[in-house]
Amino acid sequence: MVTRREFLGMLGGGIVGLAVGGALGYTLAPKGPSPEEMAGKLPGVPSEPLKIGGMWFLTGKFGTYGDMAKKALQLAVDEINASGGILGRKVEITLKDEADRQNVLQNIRKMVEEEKAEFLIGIDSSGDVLKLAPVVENDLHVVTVITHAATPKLTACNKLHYVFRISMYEEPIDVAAAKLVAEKFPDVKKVASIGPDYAYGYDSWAIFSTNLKKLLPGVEMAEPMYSKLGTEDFSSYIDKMLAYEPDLVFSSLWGGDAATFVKQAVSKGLFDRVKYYLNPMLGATDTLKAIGDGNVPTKAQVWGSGRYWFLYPPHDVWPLNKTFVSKFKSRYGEYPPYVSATSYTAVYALKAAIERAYVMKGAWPGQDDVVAAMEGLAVAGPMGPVAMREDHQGVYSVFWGRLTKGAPNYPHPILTDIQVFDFGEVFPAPGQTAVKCQ
Amino acid sequence: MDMGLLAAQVFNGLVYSSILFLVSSGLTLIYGIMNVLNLAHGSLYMLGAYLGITIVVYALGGTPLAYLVAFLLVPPSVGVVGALLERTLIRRTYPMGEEYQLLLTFGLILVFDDLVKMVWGAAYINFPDPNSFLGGLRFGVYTLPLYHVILIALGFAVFLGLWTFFSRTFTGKVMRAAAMDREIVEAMGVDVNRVFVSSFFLGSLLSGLGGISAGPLYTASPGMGTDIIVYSFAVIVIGGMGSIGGAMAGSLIVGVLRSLAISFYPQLEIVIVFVIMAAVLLVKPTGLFGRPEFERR
Amino acid sequence: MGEEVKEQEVSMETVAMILGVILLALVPLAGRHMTHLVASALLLSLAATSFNLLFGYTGLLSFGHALFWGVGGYTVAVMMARFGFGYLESVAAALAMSAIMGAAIGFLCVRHTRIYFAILTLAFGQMFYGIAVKWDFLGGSDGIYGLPRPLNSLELYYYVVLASVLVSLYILRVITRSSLGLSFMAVRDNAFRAEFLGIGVRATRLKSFIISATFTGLAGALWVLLETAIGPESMFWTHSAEFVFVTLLGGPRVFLGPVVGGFIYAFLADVAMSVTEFWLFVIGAVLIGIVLFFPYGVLGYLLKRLRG
Repeated sequence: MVTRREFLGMLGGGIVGLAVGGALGYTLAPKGPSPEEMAGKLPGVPSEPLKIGGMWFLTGKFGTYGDMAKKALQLAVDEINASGGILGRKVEITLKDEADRQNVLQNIRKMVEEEKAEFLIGIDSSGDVLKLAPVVENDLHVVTVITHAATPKLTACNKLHYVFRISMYEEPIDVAAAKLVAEKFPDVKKVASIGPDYAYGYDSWAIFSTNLKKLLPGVEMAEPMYSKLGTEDFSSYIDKMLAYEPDLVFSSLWGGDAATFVKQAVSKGLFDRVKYYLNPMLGATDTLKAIGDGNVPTKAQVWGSGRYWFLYPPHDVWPLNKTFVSKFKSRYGEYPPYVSATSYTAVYALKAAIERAYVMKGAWPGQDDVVAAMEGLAVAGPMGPVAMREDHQGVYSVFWGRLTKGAPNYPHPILTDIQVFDFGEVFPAPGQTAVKCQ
Repeated sequence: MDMGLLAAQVFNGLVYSSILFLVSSGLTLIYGIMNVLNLAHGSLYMLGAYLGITIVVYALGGTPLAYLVAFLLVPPSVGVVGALLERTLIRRTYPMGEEYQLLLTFGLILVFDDLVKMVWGAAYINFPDPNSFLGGLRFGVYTLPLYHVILIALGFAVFLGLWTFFSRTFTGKVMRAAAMDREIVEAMGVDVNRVFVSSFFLGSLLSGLGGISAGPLYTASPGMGTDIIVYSFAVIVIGGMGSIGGAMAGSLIVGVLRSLAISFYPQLEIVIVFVIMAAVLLVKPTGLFGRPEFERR
Repeated sequence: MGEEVKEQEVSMETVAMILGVILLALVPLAGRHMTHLVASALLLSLAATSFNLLFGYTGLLSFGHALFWGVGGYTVAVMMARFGFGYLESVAAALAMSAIMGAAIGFLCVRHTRIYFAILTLAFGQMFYGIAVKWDFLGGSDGIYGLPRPLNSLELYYYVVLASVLVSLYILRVITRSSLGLSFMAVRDNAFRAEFLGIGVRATRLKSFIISATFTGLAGALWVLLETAIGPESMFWTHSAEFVFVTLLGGPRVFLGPVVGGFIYAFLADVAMSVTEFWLFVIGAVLIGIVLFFPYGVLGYLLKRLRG
């Protein structure tokens, strides 16, 4: 864990890294002429617009993720186009619905081959990203930036060339969770857990529990529980937990499930019986909105993390976050959820890589040139500086914060008492994971 | 075995059974009287939850009064939507095979999911929890929230009400008679069309009641009707299609067994309902309380 | 209807079919996305035609047919990814596995008809969906991915799909015209009478079920090689509903109805999604329109108009 001062130091290092890296990131991009004025002015740059293809869940139970991504995309694209586009090329977005699960690859192919998307971003589901990666690598050969799907397998079990992941994945957050428990709640004796009944839930528990066992060997752990994605009634899970009488509950439920669970657990008295509740996906404004101030437990400490938190890095130290949050808030009337931040950053990462590759090559870069520029790139996102590691995983610090209600100025509960874990502390080395590869 | 946990799980199962019963009784009622299997029945449940949210969250705030208003207004509104669907669309499939009814109502599911998204947005929305002002009863480590107790009572009250309606009142008897033989009832001077619209109204009202009852416990999102419709199918197949008593029995079996499975045999949870359903169909195809004539007709 | 007219019709149909096949053979010229799209449309069409052998010809509405698509698909994926077999052996195994599963599940299901049959098949479909989600060997919720594509080329593989689908359709066509196919229809139209005529009703239904399951499994197997991946959602009940939809869209009482339906559906979904994020609304509205205005399906309607 790092203190605020150490954090500021790290942040400084990151900014220096950015400048040294030569990336023409967001903060350094000057206000330029409009795309019309720029078109054809840079040698070797095509005049037609640059199309980026995006895929998220746009419909169904998870349609809200596509909604968040679209908002951020619109924001990023408008900003970029207002200041000259990418090397003078106007940016356009084309979208496909990931909820059409039978046709994920066909729809991706359509964007690339028919709608002429030059780059791809998005993907919510881990299952889809694992299917997609080999096809992009072996067949489509298009630089693809993943913004949500969080399975460690993507970057740890594959040798990636065209596929990058800008968003935080699940492993560092769960490693940090174990550290948080060991450092702040060493009095924990019995741990119970619940997660969604698929790979993400299993992996999350495996990572957290193996790490916690190393740090606090005496802790007793209940058989993990898993609930179907979209479970409506958690009462039976909650009573089974109560019967075990744990003092800490680890829950990797996400989205609507995370909110439903907390609400039902409040009325079933779970938070009067346990001391701590940790959820690595709680720090999402969409979930917090659904939980509402009325359902924030008062007795137990509830802690959450996520891929991005709109109040971290603090707005006074990292002005980019402040700008992003206020722009997002004034345009859409809400605080940005994490998918918005990662999607926004993905567009800027592509921009930075293309510009860097152009400088190195002196002509509009091909896909392999963009890959080369993306490797080792540092880009400034709302979540702080993100460095693209050799395994094509974006790395940045992990936060954990305590759920607090009634914060003035916010329409939903927020995380406070933010604890920061430097990425060096919690990211496994490239190619390593506690999860079994296929 | 931990007896306290067992009792708590049976209680949880009863809460879920109660919601399942509200929805599946409407499904089975419409099937029993009109021989229509309405796949969009789950969408009416979703509509009930979203209308409830409009009243409780957006219009009145989570006060006890808001819940009262929602419980009074939502079910009949959903009933009217159901009756309108019957009049405008579903009626036209009667001369066709039942596969066309399934198809048309499947189309309605897709339309409803997107309509809900257009009106209320894609984000999941939470009701304020009525237990925050109702509280609960404590037994050892377990809590029985009062709203859950009310739901169980509501399920049984609706069951008794339906049972009385169909066996004691004239309208109820006419509806049952229309289910058995349309022509004779018609010959006796009863307007069968009105019977059909009323049964669609009543069946949809029950689904809406299920939605507004379940809403405060759960989280609403577009597509929330897909799971409940599959479970409701299982319920009425197990209990016997067209039978209110069967819907009750099926709901109790599915609700309680699911809850016990979660606690004691978790790996069975996802398949147990379908295993019971297939087993019942194979051993006694008409279900526990079904009448054999439904299959032959 | 006179003999002459009938002959003319046949020749018209033949010409239309030859034109259709030539057009299909030229698809790879229209780009890779079109090739992929038409290949999936072909496989959807084959699955729907197989489904329709049971539904349109035998009178049994299966609401769990995606189960066999999944059985075929998972067999190929397991054979290749877990045991290192080539795709030919894997597809052969998928055919065998689909037939065996079809026999086992069909044996249990054909005791019932109508809505009970539909719900029983739905129950089995959901059961196997649950198993695929839970079973590590099948990759759980992630499924099995990263399979090599046969011949290392989408275009060449497209011709494999095209040839397999055409041959399968031809076999199914021959079956529907054989005495076996006639016995399917006899059972559909009047089971009691068929029984009197000495047709074993249950055995006939079971035969139809097995053939239907086998070809649906083949479609699933070839689809996995096209997509190079498979996940549990391929067995979810909404995928089964898609087969029903596609069949009724084209017309269940015409042999090629499901093929026409499969193509309309695949292209409709493709276009609708490019136009609006509310593409499911569009599909739902089309579905409702079909039921209300074209209950014989598009092809059924066209043929009816043509034949007066």
